Amino acid sequence: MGYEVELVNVSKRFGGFTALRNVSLKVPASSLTVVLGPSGAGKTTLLRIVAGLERPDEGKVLIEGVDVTDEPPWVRGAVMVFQRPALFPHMSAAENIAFGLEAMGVSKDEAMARVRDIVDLLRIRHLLSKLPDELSGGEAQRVALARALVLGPRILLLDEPLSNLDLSLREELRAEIRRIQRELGMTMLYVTHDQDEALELGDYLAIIYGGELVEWGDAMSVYESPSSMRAARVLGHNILSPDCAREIGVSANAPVAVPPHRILLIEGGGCRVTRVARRRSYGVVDVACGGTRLRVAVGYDIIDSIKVGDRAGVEVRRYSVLKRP
Amino acid sequence: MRVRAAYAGSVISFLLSITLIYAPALSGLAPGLSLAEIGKVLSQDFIRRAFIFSLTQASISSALATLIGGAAAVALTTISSRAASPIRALALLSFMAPPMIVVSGFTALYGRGGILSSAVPPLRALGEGFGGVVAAHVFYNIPLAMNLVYSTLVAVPRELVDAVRIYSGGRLWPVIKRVIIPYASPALIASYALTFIYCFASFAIPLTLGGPAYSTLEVYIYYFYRMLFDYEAAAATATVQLAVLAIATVLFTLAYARLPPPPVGRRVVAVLPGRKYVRTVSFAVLAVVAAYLTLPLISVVIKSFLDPGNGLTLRGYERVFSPVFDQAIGASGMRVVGNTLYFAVMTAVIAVSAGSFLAFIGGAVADALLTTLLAISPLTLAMGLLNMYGGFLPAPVLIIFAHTIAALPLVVKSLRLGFLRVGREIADAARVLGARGLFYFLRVVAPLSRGSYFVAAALAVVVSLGEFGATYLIARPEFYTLGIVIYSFRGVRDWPASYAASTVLLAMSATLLLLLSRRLERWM
Repeated sequence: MGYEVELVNVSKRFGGFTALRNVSLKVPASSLTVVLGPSGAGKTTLLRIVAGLERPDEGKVLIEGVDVTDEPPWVRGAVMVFQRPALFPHMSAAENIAFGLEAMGVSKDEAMARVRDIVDLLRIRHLLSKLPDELSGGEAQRVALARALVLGPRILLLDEPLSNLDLSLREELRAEIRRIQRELGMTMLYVTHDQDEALELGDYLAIIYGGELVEWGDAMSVYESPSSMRAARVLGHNILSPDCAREIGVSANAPVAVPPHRILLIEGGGCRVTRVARRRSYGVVDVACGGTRLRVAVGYDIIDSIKVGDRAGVEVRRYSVLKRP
Repeated sequence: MRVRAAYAGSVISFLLSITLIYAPALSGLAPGLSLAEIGKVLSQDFIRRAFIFSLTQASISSALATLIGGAAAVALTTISSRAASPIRALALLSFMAPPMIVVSGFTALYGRGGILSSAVPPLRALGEGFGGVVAAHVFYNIPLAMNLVYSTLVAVPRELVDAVRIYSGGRLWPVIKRVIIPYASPALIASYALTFIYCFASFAIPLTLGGPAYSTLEVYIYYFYRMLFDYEAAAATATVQLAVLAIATVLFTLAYARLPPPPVGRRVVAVLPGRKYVRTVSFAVLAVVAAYLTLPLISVVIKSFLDPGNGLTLRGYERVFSPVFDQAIGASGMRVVGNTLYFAVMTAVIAVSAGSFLAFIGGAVADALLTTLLAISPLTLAMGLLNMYGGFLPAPVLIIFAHTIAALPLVVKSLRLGFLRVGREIADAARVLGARGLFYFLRVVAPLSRGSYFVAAALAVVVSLGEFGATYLIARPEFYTLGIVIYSFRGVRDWPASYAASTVLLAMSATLLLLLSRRLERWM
């Protein structure tokens, strides 16, 4: 079982720059929480504070209700996997994986037995004798994951561990991380700026923007119905003022967020197509409806029939009312 | 826990620095620490002349070395790093050459009957007197300026150079104004200040090339202490010298703090436009600098095989390696060679051990400790060591002590550069996996920085081989080193023996430096 992690009013400054401002977050035990946000939002700082690599200027870090704010990393039961594998270049994969056990004073025999178990779980037994230089990016990241998992952590912190890998490898490892989390039941905090990753992995989604936690909750609820304008911006939703919303048939007294994939594009109507773009496995169409500009996600099956200048109508299927900011 | 470890490291570093440096230095200065004593020495004409000479020669030497070294650094960026490699190795050799070798080199090349001065008599001005002192100091410090500026220019972002080049239409002046001057200024100021410190407290060069008319304060400290046994005057002179060095040290520290981090593994960016005339001028600058740095050392080797008026000889080497007691030295030549190697090895062992500690957990205290060493001249420290420990520690221990202190800044610098190779990611990974203290050092830091240990040890050996001032003050003849007997052989006008001793010392230093030249390039 994993541990519950709680941050209480955590702030962190680096010189004049505030990396985190008054962040409070409770991560349920044995869940996978994804922390999503743009570059420089404070995601990595949050993870490093949980790991014990940075001390918050204000606030507390609780693990299973115990205040560990001033405790060093090795007593927290939390292990971190970094964006780059950070393997010790002078040690083989086996030595790298056993490193933490060696530091804990575990006997050699026991360490080797635990290493064997974990490499079987990650299917990397064939890599054990290789040096980091001889590993591919994906293999190195698997070894880094094994090095963390072999310690049997109650909390695993992952700082964009797949961002340096190519697409297919990223998808493969994503599935593996999810499988391991379910199998071992540990608490995972996973930092990313990739929404696909966030949606595929997260039980919970925390959105950080400008050093503040702007949204937290069940991953799909947050994604479909953000209540904060900054969260909606991070997620790439259309943000409309009440007047603009009215132009497309949405009546609200406050700004609303409309996810691009929850707008139906229909032939003919009062809007005009201003841009058509193809993305991987879906298309994006920008339309202007009077003074309102909207982004709509469409399937590949219809994108070929849409051209800039076409007239179109829109039907909003889901929206959420936003609190400011 | 972390806070406690860092605190303990700082306290131990501080205690170490008290024992090694501050207490001895204060003890050396104590007899002269009164306004009356300082007033007394400053009232003497020859001290005032020495003060003015120290100031003048240091200012001129520093300006010339910084100017030439800075130009050489810019020129160095116009050639490939492969082509720059031998020039940087040569620069390292001349920067680390023991001062008595430099003295021998300038005498052999520009002195009376020198290889060049015989053909071009006006060059005699570079072999003795004011010109000799300045020329030798410039020789020493061109590499220092060159490497400080070169390291800064290597850190210039390639995109910036490309942008300035595109927008300036390939003209030279905008590149100099917008890139070279802003980036190189802190390095130029730092190298001027550091060169000034070295030149102001110089001992061996003014003692031998300058003669009585061109002596620095450091020479008079020796004179008061060893010749007149006037410890108060020696200490008061050292205090005056310390005051000037302290100001220069502050200037150096301020400028050094503005330098970019060491360019570990950076690619060289050619900051100047690749025009033909630029390459020609750069090549000419580098050729002149290379000749200036090489010729004195080559001359020493040539002269060691020449007996004035009698053709070729090996007599000098026979005397250096003779097992028989030598009246001029007060010991046998073999013993001197043995002493030199013994002190060097011991210095390397102790300096690397203490340096490891300081570099690993010393932090800001270690930095401060090493910076203050700049303001304390070798003779001031030697006086202090004799005052504090002379009563119960034998001379060889004090000599090793002094050599260790002299080597520590370079040792710690090279180890810290090695530790930088560990990188933040690896360090963080080790910490979250539970590695700490000695385990972390032995399993992660030491293996990843083992190259820097070779460099640190080599530098400690070279510093010890070259140390002259403190050794000369502390040692009795049976503990003399090669540096001192070069001076002794000069004293009895045995030129082949003096050059032979210089060549042996040069061979020892050069072998080490050239063997490690690739690694040392990164260090420089």
